[in-house]
Amino acid sequence: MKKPDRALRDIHTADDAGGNGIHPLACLLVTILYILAVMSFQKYNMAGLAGMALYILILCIWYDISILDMLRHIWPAFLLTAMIGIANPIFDSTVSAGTLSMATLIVKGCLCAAAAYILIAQTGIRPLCSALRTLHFPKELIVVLLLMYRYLTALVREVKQMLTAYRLRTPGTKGLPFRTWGSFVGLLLLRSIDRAEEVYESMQLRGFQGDFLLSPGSYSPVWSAVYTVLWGIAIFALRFFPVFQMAEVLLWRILK
Amino acid sequence: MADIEITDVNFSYQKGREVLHQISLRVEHGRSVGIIGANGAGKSTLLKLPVGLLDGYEGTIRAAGQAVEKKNLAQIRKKVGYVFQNPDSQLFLPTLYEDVAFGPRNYGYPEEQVRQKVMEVLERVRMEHLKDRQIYRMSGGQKKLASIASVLSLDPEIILLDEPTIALDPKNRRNIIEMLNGMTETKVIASHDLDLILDTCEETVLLAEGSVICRGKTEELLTDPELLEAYDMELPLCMQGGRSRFRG
Ligand SMILES: Nc1ncnc2c1ncn2[C@@H]1O[C@H](COP(=O)(O)OP(=O)(O)OP(=O)(O)O)[C@@H](O)[C@H]1O
Ligand SMILES: [Mg+2]
Repeated sequence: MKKPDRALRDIHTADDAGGNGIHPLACLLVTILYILAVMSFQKYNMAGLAGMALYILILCIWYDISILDMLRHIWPAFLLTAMIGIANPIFDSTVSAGTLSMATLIVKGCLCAAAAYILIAQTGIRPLCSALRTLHFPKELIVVLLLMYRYLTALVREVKQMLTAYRLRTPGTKGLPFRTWGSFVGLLLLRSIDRAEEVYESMQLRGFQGDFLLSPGSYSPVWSAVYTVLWGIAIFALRFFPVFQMAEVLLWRILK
Repeated sequence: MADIEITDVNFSYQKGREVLHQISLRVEHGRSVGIIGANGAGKSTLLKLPVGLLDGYEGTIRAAGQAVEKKNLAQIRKKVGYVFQNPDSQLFLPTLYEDVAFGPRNYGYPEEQVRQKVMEVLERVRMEHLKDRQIYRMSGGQKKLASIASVLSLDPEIILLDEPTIALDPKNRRNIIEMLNGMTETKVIASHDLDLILDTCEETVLLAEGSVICRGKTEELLTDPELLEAYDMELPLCMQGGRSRFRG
């Protein structure tokens, strides 16, 4: 599959997610808790952070999320934290301590990005927005979030059309020559902004006032509560107890 | 009172480049009016005005009994449906069902009623079998039908359609025409498809370079080859009987 096609498919998969029985609010709360826990680790505590990866791993298996796909989506978080952390080896007390603190920063960034990615895959964008509304998240911000998401679709679609149009008229060349990038990107922005504006207009014409009404999906309150409580306990344990060491000790005891 | 009343309206997107000049247009309740004109004549622009998509016009516009002003827009938009020229601008939810249900849900209909409404509308455009189809996997014509359905689901009293038959195959084109003719709502249809206008509209307005050139009975306007030719259009295909499609 070509890149724009794949991106479109990914976006629409996120659209379709949800309906797994667990209320988006529960997923959102657990994700927030998880991100807070990850962020609160000390800058040299790599072992503890490694434990937090369990959450990601379990959810990926549970929801059948491809880890490769996920990595493909979170690499900007990797780059960003790497850029922020690059000064650590220079300014920290020793070089090795600096390298370690840089590594934990990068891992933190990636874990948070992965948690957010899983959240969208779990719930879908609209249920997520409506969950945010339940938490009294400001309407305006949700509309912006939603529009950014919509804008993404419009952008990808325009890229696809423009690339196709370009290819058809330049047989034999591969990719986009550097000199045409400027006009390509400029035109692209204009076109996708126009399109996103029209999409927003059409939403308003059909009575959209900033509230995303959730189609009463098949959410089970019991499962949602169980999900929240279990993950709450697990995240607490992973955060405050050296779970791996304890498991190792336990294992040795049993083996003996 | 007329359903749509546009009086002495001027409009420009950019200062100094007027796109509509001194337009006046009344559409009485239950009528259907066609708007024709060459590319860039201002048809789409004119159609966007009554739903308040463009601001900064001069003159007065009333739709569904109310002045088109910010404070009335919510009520006007409940009664006036607008179908975009480009369906990609209109459809934005993952599946056909979801998109058609979007409007009714926004107005707080109970879910059972939403479902009924959606199915009824999909039946009208003969797309029930596609209700769970992902919109980005639909063909151009299917999207066009879907965008019409998503507007009909709100039961508008007045419906503005920009190129409703663009990208439709003959069968779906006929469906749309039958559907339009079966509707009692007030309709304004902008199109290059003069056969469509001839089949669906009692009256027609000819626009050129942002001005109304003339308005009259559709049969009279569209059977006047000199007039049409003067404004870069041709007789509807069904009138071009002399030119056989099979030579000889
Ligand atoms: N967003 C815009 N900004 C600036 N100018 C615009 C914009 N949209 C349209 N125009 C200009 O306004 C004029 C009328 O455009 P409009 O889209 O109303 O024409 P139309 O009759 O619908 O044409 P078509 O048959 O091609 O759809 C054109 O000259 C066009 O260039
Ligand atoms: Mg137009």
